[in-house]
Amino acid sequence: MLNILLLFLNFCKFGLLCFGGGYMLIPLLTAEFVGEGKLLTPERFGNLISISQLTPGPVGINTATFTGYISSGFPGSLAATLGLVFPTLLLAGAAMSFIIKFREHRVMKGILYGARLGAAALVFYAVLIFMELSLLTGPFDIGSIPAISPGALLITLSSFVLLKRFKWQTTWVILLSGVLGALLIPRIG
Amino acid sequence: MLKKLWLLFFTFAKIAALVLGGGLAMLPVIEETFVNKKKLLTQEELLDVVALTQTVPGIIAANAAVSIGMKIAGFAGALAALAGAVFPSFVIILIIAILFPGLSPDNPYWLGAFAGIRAGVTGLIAATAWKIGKNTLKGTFECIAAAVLLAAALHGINPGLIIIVAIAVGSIYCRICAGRVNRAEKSGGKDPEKC
Repeated sequence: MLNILLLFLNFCKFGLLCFGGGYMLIPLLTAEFVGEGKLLTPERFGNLISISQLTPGPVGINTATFTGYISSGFPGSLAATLGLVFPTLLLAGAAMSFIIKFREHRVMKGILYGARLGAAALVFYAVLIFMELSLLTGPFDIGSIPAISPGALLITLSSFVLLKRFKWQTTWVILLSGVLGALLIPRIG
Repeated sequence: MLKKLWLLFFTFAKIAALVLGGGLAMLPVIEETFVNKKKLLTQEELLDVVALTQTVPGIIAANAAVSIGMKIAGFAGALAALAGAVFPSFVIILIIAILFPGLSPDNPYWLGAFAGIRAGVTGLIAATAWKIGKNTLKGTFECIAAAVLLAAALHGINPGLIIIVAIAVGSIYCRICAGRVNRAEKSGGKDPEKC
């Protein structure tokens, strides 16, 4: 029981420390759980991270559930996952109610105006990152530009056109992308 | 009210079950459901949520679920959306952990399907970014500011820091504009350039 409580508190701490999303969990988890005499070997941790990234759902939730289960079974997975999102519930909830309350205030209007510009820039940035991750066969570098995967490029272009021009629902675009990927990518790369 | 809570739970469950890659990958589905179809959020409020998810600690999906739930249906909404965002991943990973505790995925079709979904999501985000760009970059100041912030992100500057700098620059710019509007009104001139 103490074990489960400690797991919950540990993941609460991770939830408070990971700025900028689930990938920030990896160094935090490594320090806490990976190594000699600890819960996971580096190899098993590597597998756990790649399964968490390949499985649908937020990477942070996947990783927390997995680590919690390995640590103490079902109660552990529940404690780790709830611990991870508990600080978010309080912090993001409080931040949003603050924004709603002072929305019409002059200072808040300036803040939101700037925040939206920053957010737009980060969305453009996300597009570039996703292009690098999904279209290229290796990380981008000016010195050695990696090859483009033709199958992935075809899927990206068709999903853009299906959503923008033909007003498809995102659900169907994502499912079609998965089917096309299974058919095309093992064959043409 | 109950209908809104169910919509929040169901939409975030759908996002968590379908979207690979986490973080901003879920933006297109959020926009489709809450902005375009249900009209519960405006596109500007969606950008507020993006800014908030990048500045508040915690994983992005949970931040987005809580802040959108809070905006649409208060604290109960935040809980419903968060439960939805967590539930499918929790079940899927639990099944994988129980069935294949040491497994590394190496089936080529499986990997192909996931690579395909990631590529498809790239197209969806590009479409969303296109729309956000059209709505946000209205003038020269906005274009230059966004370009500089994007360059900073590409140089590995922390996203939270980028939002904070953007807030500072935006606040000062709005203050200057408001001053200009006041002076123009006093002198009874023509409509000044709008901010």
